[in-house]
Amino acid sequence: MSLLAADPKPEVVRFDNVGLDYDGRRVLEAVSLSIRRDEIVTVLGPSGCGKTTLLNIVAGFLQPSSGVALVSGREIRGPGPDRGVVFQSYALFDWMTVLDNITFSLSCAGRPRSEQLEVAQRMVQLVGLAGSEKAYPYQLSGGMKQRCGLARVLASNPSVMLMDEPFAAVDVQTRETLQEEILRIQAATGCTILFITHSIEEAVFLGHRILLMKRGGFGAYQDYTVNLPLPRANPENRLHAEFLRLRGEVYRDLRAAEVTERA
Amino acid sequence: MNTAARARARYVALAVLSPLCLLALWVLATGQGWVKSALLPPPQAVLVSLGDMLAQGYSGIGLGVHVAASLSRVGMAFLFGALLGVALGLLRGRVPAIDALLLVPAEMLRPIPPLGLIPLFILWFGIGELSKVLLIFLSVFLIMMVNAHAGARSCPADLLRAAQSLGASRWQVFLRVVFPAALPQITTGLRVAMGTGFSILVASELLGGDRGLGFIILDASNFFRTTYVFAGIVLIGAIGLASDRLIAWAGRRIVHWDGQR
Repeated sequence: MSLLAADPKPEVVRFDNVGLDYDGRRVLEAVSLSIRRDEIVTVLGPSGCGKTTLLNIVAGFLQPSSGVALVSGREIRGPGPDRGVVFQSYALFDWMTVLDNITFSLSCAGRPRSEQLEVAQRMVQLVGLAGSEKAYPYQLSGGMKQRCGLARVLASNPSVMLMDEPFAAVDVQTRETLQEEILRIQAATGCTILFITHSIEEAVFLGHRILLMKRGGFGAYQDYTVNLPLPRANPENRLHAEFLRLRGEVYRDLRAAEVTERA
Repeated sequence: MNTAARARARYVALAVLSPLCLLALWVLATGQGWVKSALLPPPQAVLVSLGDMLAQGYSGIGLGVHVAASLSRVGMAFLFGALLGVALGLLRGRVPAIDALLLVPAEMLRPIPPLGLIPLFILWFGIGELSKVLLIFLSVFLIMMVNAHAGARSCPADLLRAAQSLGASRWQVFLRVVFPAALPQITTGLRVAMGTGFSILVASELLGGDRGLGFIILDASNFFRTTYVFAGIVLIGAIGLASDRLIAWAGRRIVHWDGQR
């Protein structure tokens, strides 16, 4: 049976015909998808196609009107620390230091302080925030804020990290650095990531798979597999022939989708 | 001196200059006879009365006792009014059912002037300490509830979602996110409530009694001792100013993130 190379990794996220109505309007229709462990799945699509809705359902912020949404085989019921969310707005707690932001989930779970500090120390090293533990979020640059947002989520060791255009608010240089950091961290921790973006380059550079959604959802999306050389964090991948080829292909398909909708 | 320090020095200079100008105007207006001294006594005379009260007390009771009486009334009312107002205001901001229950009673109570409640309070609670404190408490409570409510509402949705998705319980979200997010508004509320508390103090000391700064003002005005009226007013103003600066200073320390984004 399993003549294909490796056994597929276990499914972390599964959607079966998930639809969502909002204000009596269908914003997502019958989406079925599957995200496996260790995968980075990037989601692209025209504005208003329901990318963020999709993420909010996984996060548990929205309940599907129809269909079934599962995480680790269990139906999603409200938000939880197994699904960490990294926000475009950072959403850091300004009244807490970087360290207290990072230990927030562990302290809510009632873990001993020694464990909280030990985990926080590892996270600070992992995301490159060493030396800023005692700073407050408003004292950090945009890039550093998002490193803190990342560490705060990683600290609870989530099954899947949900990132909703996390780098949209930082400058281009910082964004590219952060993209490479994500790939480095993902390779080091083996975390699963669902990453929403508007940028084709970002989707191709980060994704193991890319989902190109159509407006209104309608259950339809195109699924691309990205075959870039390892380590994926290598910035040279941005110049790789496969990168350029896929970027072009996705670009044409995205344009075609937008034109069809307008017609 | 750098720009920030210069701006700060300028601020302090202007803040000190404005009361000095008003004082100079006061000296001038009374010294030149622009106003009758029975209506507006010269500041020197007010100062003499103040000194007299400091030495002799007022109506046989030491000035310190008067001040302490007023401070304890305002202090008690402020403490309990703020605690209850903040707690209920935050709950109203997050729990629609509580908001719905409190909306009509609170908003009907708020526009009623405290003076209008005095006869009722005398009837219900007598003319002792209780009705004085309750009158101030009521105003502080209503102001704090409005501010805490607005503060809780102002908490960004992303922060609530972040806390929930990090595993915070409802109670943890409330204590560790909603409450601190509301602190800037609560601080502003405390300053407004403190000012209002002192202004209602005078009204509350209409409710009988033989001590307090409000009592001094009312008693002195009954006997046309205008300089004592002004001495009392100046004292209340000074204590109000000091308490406002104290709250603002503590607020800046505690709410260090406010205005930093």
